[in-house]
Parts: sequence; structure tokens; C-alpha cells
Amino acid sequence: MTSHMILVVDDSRVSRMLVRAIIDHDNEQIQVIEAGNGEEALSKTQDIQVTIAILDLNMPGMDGLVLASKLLARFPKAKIGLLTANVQDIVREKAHALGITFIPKPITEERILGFIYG
Amino acid sequence: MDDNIQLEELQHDAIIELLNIGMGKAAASLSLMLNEEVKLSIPRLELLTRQQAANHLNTQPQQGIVAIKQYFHGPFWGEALLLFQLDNNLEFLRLLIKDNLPSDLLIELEADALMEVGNIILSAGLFSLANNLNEELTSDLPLFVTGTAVEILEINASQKNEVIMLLRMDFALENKDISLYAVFILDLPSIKQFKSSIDQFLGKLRQ
Repeated sequence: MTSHMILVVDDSRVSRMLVRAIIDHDNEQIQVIEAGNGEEALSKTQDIQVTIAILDLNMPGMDGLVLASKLLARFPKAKIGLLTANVQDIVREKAHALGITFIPKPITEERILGFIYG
Repeated sequence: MDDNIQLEELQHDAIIELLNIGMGKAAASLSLMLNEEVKLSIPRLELLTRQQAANHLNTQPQQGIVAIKQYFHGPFWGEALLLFQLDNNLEFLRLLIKDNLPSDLLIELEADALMEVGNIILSAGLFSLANNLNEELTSDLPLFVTGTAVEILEINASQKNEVIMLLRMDFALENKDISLYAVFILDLPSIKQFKSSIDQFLGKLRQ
């Protein structure tokens, strides 16, 4: 896992802290990049290779689905998870149509590590 | 009161049952977040004026209310609120963040943490309801609001006597002085649309 660069995008600082804590606790070698919105995420990942991204859905500016499609255009092999409290079937279907994984909130170690290693 | 918003017994039962299902998912989410058993109250459904709703929410009028508010939109629309009654905010935040952070950082994170809890609980309730009604709802970003019930509900003089539907369910953590109240408020045009969605739901059950 040492080569992984995980992008975590969520407008909630607490959510980012929870995801980072789970990843750090599992493997401190994994590099985590945090962003509070889609624009910041795209800017911070211009010159790096993202292999895994965990994206909130409902954020100021572009939502997680729009961000996912932009990241997939830049990193076609990246594994992307949509981490959201919006548990509607339609959201699951949109995530599935984009080829990304739906991860329901609340954030738990099982859900985050299950996505990263699954 | 407008006859168009009065509920028949079956419509009332359906709303209570759907609220029970949605809030059950919300309670499960809260329990996962806090690693504690969460007790749920019986759902309440009332048709009230906005002023009566404010009085209803003011359980401790001498204290300001801390709440997370989220507007939702779709075939029916309204306000979703999660009200916190916390005798010890830091205890709640420590349960939530599960990290031995210093108190000053926890206080700095309070609004953010409560918004995240609010978003998860209100979304679980709302979107479970949407799934069961086979409707699509969207919600705005959560807002951290404090003040009196009248301020939180943003009631002006002309709205005081407007009739609204108030749906409420309470969450409590056993052995802890932590209570949360989820409240959904629909105004008159929205109630009519909501009733129509409930009728469609009941119609499918009868087929």
C-alpha cells in the first residue's frame, strides 16, 4: 500500500479528520491529500497521481459526482468512492453508472478500509 | 383548517410508519457514530401554526437552541431540523470524534461536527422516506443555527398563523445527558403534495 496516494474531499473538516485517522491508524505510509471542495481537489492533484479518492457528494460548488467524472478523466485507473449521507437509490444508481463505489455515511473503519482494500 | 390538509387515519398511519423506518435508519447511524445505544421516541405528527410549532420546540425557553437546519426540495419540500439538547457538549464531541483532542480544538470543531451529525441523521430520515415513496429529494447544505425557536424557524409576523405539518422524533442516549430531536416542517402547498405522494404509496400497497 505504500505507493497509494489517497485523495479525501469533504467540506466537513470533521469528516476529513475521521477518514484520515482511519487511514493513518491502518497504515501511516499511505499519503493522504485533503481538500474541502472540488476546485481545491482538482488544484491539489494537478501534478500528482491519485490512485484512490474518497469524495463527499453534497459540497459547495461542484458535487461529488461531477468531481468524480473530472477525476476519472484525469486518472482513469483511480478507484473512487462516493461517501455520502444521501442514501437514495437514485444516488447509488448514479454512482454505479459512473463506475464508482457508493459508501454510505456515517464513516466507519470497516466501510473506509473495506473500500480501500476491497 | 383547510380540509385539503387534514389526514385520513390511513394516511396518518403511513406517514408515522415511514417516519419510523427513516428515523430507525437515522438512529442506527447515530449509534454507529457514537458507539452507544440510541433510544427512539414514538413519532409525532401534528398540524400546527408556525407560532405553535415554535412553542413546541422551545422545551427550555430560558436556553437558546442549537440546531442544524437543512432545506429539502422535490415533489414536496420543507425544512429538516436536528435540535441538540446537550448538557455537556465536549462529552458529545469526544464520543463522536473518538480522538483525544484538546478541548480548545474540540470547541473549534463543534459547529462542523454538529453539522456532520445533522446531515447524516436528517439525510437518513429524508432519503429513506424518498426511497420508500419512490420520489427524488434534494437537500441544501446543512446550516448551523442558534437562537430562539422563533429565530430558528425564521417566523415573521405575517407567518405566525400559517399552518404547517410538524413531524418529530426524539433520540436519547442511555446513561448520558444527550438528547436530539429531529423535526420536519412542511408548509401548506407542500403538505398537499406530500399527501399526494402518500396516496400513491398507499395505492401501490392496495394493488
